[in-house]
Amino acid sequence: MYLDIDAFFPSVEQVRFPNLGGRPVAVGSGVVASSSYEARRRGIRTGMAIAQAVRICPQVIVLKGHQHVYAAFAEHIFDRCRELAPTVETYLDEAFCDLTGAPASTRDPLALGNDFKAAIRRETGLGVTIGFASNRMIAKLAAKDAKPDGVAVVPAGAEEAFMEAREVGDVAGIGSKAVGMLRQINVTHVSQLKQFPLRYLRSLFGKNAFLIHERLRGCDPYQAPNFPRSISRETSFMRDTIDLEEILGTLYYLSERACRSARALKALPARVTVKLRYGDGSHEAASARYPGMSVRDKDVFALASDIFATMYRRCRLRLAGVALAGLTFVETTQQTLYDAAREEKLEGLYLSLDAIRAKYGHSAVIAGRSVSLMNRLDRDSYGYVLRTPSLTK
Amino acid sequence: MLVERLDEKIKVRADFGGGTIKPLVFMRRGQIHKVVKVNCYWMDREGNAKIHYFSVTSDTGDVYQLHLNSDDMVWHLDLVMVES
Repeated sequence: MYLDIDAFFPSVEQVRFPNLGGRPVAVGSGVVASSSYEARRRGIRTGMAIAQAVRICPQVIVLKGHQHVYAAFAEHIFDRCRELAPTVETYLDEAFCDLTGAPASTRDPLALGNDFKAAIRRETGLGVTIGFASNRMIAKLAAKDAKPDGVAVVPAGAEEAFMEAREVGDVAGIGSKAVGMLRQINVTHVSQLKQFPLRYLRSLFGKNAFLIHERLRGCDPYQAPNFPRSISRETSFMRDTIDLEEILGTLYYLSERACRSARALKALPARVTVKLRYGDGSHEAASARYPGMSVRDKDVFALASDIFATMYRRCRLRLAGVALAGLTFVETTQQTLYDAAREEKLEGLYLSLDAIRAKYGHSAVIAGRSVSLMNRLDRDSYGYVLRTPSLTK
Repeated sequence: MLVERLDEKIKVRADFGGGTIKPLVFMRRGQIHKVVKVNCYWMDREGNAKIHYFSVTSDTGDVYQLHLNSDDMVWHLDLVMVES
């Protein structure tokens, strides 16, 4: 079962403020992160500059967005999914629920979907779209066809026929670049690309060729990893900046947040990546091997700031991000041969910091270079209120 | 549409029956506001404390956001939305 929350951010705002119901609403800062169906009907699209959205539709109500409110609503819906399915994979506004072996799998999917949808609507006021199929990709595509506020079912055995008439861009793993490339050779639909032998697909899609080959036939052998490959934290600045104090303070804060998540998962990164986007829209990323044996904010930040120093062009920065990549699960941290007592103390320090923040909120302790953000950014219990905070799993 | 941030401690009369919380009446600056509709409810956390949020429409037609901190059991009025 695939579940998608319809026009998530604006829908939450319309539930919180009923006066917004039926009116075009866009949520975002700088660019539109999400828009209500009323706004979409007037031509507003995700990723569009807010100024352009206002030009197209002067009646649009632009809201900055409330990340924690959206997360609370999403978590409520995901908790309901967990009651239904033993395995639930969640993203920002969507969830894949594996109903295999669950009591719910014996019910008629259409009735199950409608009941579930009604329960979500009753409890949260939000509309969701649900797709049922034997695999992730088909369930998601079925839901896409049923949007908004619908339920769709693709019975087992009908997957290949379901894919036949679809455009190649609908196949997971075929992005806009590949679609453009295929269009040049007059291939626009799955039925056409399906005729290509695997070796030809290999020349087009490289190591993903087999996956694409299967997906064109309605099979999706992809299994979501049960441990994250990377943890990243990024944000755009309140306004483009060349202030090194602010940039390094932000990098420290992002490193700190990423490290805290990694420690909670007992994950050790192999690489640290820094991502920058400049005021002119250009962006770059660079990474370096993380030599540490445990995840420490100070060590990760030291590496991140070294990477930053080698790549920064001394132009106005719009966005900065830090990612811990190549994560592996480590049950216990490896002790150093030298200065073991100091290492143990540091280990204890970070554990204590994490415990304090878990109990009193991240803002309970402001540490390191992120102190320089204190007079620049507002704070709530979650920490600094960033302009466009985002995280990826 | 105008959203005014308030962040005021307020007194609320609420119904805690059946494992749910339903604000019924609140008092702000000496004036009593009757809750005619609870638009939505969501729960968040501040460290260990559970924060119960409510969007409510009062008898004046204005929409308010209230929250109750489960640690100190103090109600707060976060914001009011009025049509400008």
